[in-house]
Amino acid sequence: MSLECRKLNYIYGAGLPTQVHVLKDIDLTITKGEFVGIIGHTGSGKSTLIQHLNGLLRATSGQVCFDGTDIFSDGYDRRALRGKVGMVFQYPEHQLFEADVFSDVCFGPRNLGLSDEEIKARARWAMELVGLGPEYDNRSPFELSGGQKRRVAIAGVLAMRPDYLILDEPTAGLDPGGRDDILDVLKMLHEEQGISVILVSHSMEDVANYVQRIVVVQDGRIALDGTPREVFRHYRELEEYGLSAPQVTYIAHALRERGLMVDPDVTTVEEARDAILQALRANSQQ
Amino acid sequence: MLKDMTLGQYYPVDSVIHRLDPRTKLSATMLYIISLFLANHPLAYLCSFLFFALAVGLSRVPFRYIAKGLKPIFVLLALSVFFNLFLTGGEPVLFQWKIIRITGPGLRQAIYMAIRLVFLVMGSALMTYTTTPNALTDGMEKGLRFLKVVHVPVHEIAMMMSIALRFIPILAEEADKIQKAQMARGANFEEGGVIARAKAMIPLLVPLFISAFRRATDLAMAMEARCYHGGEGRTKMYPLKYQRRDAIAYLIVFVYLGIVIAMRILL
Repeated sequence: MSLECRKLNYIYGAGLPTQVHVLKDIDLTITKGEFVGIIGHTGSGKSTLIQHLNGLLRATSGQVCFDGTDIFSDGYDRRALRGKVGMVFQYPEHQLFEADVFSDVCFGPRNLGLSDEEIKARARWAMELVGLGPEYDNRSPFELSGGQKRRVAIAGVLAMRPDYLILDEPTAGLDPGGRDDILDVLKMLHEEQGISVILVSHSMEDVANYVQRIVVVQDGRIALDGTPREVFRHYRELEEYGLSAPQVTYIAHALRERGLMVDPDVTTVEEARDAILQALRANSQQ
Repeated sequence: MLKDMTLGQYYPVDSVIHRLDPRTKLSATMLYIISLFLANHPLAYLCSFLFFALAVGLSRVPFRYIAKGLKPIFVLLALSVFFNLFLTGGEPVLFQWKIIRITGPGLRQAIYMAIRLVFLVMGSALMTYTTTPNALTDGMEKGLRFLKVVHVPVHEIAMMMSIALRFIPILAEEADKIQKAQMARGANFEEGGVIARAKAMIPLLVPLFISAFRRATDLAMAMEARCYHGGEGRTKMYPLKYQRRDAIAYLIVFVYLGIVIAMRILL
């Protein structure tokens, strides 16, 4: 069970004088059950990359394989694929269109051609996962708050019961409370529902706190790929790419420069706390 | 995809023609079209061809792009050739079969009509390939300023046009994004009958309209915040100024026009 890119190339506007080589020989395998973060500077090609994973964009050359089958081979049912590989775009609340919340969440499963009971069951299930009770069913999606709208939109994708869930900047424009709510939902989906989550983000803190693996896209290539600790060890390279490491990583490095031997690979606040306490204890024992 | 839709069809290279003032290009195109209808001699059309060839050569736009503009008028072209060829009377009769009759003037008229239409379309295409839509509106605003005397709101019309033009790519991109988002939710825009397809547009159109209204209010607010109060006393960051090359271009256009008129009178 995997989602795999092989030698993926994408050229935007091929043949025009303005053509751009967006993706260059991307090789990437995401196995079922992973929680992956994709980071990259604006224009690095990360959004283009994820749009290949459910067949919205067609690669100029190379393959995207879902469970070993090329999704662009003739006769491949890409609509069914999109039910398996769910995609939540940036500002997904901008795609809501129905008069009430429940119908909007039903749109995805209805397109999969399921029975009426199944559609409703899935919509109910998805709404509960994102923390929206039946009292929201008949409300207009346009009168909800930003965070609530976004949860409706995410539920709309979840209701298709995807094995993989790709989210492009799901926390953009939300206040800190709304941001944590969304990220906690993702964590729960990964841990309890076994959904593979692929999170595109600008926030190194979000990525460090939640994902197991980070893929860094730079200028259409995969520059780094590893656990958060491994990737953020290259914080100087990340800065060259216009990215950064989490703030606590910088604090750990700064402490080392001042002579406190803290583990420099910390990426979350909790890890940093433990590492600093450990270093202080080691110091006082000397 | 929707995003690839272009209005105007600017071809981004740097050339003398691209750098000309938009007013020069607008009036040159107008005069060129007039000249096409003044010409009534093969030699005059040779001049038109040479003039056009010079402009295309200088513009560095590949000819096949300009010729592409002919595709949509093909039916119109065929019809006008057909009517001119068979319905023009006169002597001598070159071909007659029952009621179908081709005369000398008819043949000439058909050929001239075809030449006029082809060059008219290719000439305007060359202008849109070498001028950005915004430069065009700027050119029209300044070139048509004299209409203010008769209370035509030239500035407002130009502002509306440039805002509309500015929003076309934004809304096209937005439509593309919404379309992809709905496709990611299993929407099907490609299959089904007319009614099914029209229904499939609802998930695309509702969010698009909402977003257009949102953007419109945002823009109005932003313009007010920057004290926009219409065209009176407003200055431009890049005011249009005629350069030497514009004078040369006008000179060439008028010499060409003079030759065509002279040929009409003399030949």
